[in-house]
Amino acid sequence: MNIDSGESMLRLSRRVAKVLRIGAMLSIALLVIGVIALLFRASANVGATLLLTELPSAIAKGEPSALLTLGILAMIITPIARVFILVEGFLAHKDRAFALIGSVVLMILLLSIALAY
Amino acid sequence: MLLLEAVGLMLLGLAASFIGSMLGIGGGLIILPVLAVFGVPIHDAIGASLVAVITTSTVTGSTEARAELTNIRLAMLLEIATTSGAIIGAVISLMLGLKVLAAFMFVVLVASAIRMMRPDPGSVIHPSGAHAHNKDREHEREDTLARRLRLSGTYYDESLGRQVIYRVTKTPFGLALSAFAGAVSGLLGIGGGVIKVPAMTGVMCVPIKVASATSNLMIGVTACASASIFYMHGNIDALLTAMLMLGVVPGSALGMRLASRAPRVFLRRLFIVMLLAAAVLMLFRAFGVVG
Repeated sequence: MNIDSGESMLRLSRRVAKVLRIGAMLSIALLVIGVIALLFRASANVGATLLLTELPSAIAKGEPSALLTLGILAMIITPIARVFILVEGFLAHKDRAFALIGSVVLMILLLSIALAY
Repeated sequence: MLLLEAVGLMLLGLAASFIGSMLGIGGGLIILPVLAVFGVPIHDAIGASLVAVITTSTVTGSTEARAELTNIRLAMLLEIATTSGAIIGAVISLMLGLKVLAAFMFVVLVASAIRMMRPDPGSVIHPSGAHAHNKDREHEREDTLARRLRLSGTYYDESLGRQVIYRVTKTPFGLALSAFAGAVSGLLGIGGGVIKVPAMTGVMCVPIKVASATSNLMIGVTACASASIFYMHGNIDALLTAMLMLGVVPGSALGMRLASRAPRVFLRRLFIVMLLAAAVLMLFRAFGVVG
């Protein structure tokens, strides 16, 4: 590996760290607001996370469970976003092999969602 | 949920990830048994633990110093194996009951405790002896896959004060072990670093610091593949998971920062005791004894 590609890998690694930071902060912000909202609405019944189909109406009603679900989903989605960033980075470096490997990882992740349906 | 329970969950997340991050391992091994013992339905416990594991991976992976140690190419390749394994593990997990899962967890906890009893690689000044490491393994050549995909790399070792070059070996074997680690992760809702790190250091000749950072990054995506299945299955309890996460975020951020100054010997002993206690509790569960 030459020095140049080592340096660009480091840059890509730092971008990954940034994506993870943003994802974690977004998730925690949603969770904190959700928990605070829940304290003021003690009657609200929270069970399993809301499914994607239930989310829009719950968000519209401003239900705390919608905020909690969004916060949890933000954290679950963050690693996927990280893989996206890497695929994009590998494409930018004309590293076709790794862009392909990253795409396979993304497809497996999509398959995990499809499989659950 | 009572306020007391909510605070208890936060403390569980905080304590497990604090100790885990100081030792460079996630808190998943502790979270699942505690939730199971307090009567959380096993699949809800696994779902929450998976999200906690993603949280630890994301928080500890978000610092630049950590990112610079990560071999992102190696991570990406092994992730094909870990995510595939995680899907299989999660699907199997949802078909199994408490007793069988508790028995599996017992085995993983005992194996992890035994691993923790071995010499601590993190306390060695020459991390897995970057020097000795290369000399011991000089006869081992980079395998074809590693060479073609340019998996080998360099990293700056702070304690050695210089750049360390390493060559990746036995990639196919590493892929197989990663698939196994992914399956165990999806089955029990743990990170699986306890399998991935030794697979990378012992089999693929990756230095411990790189292996640990790379494993941590992989854990997020791996747990993501199984967490999405648990989510669709309605096994991610919103408040339970949220409270756990609110403890895990400060716990792993703090643990990571204090890692270099942590009393490792004491912490490892404490962690071994916790793992063995959890193992006993899981054994009770496996045999249907409430404990």
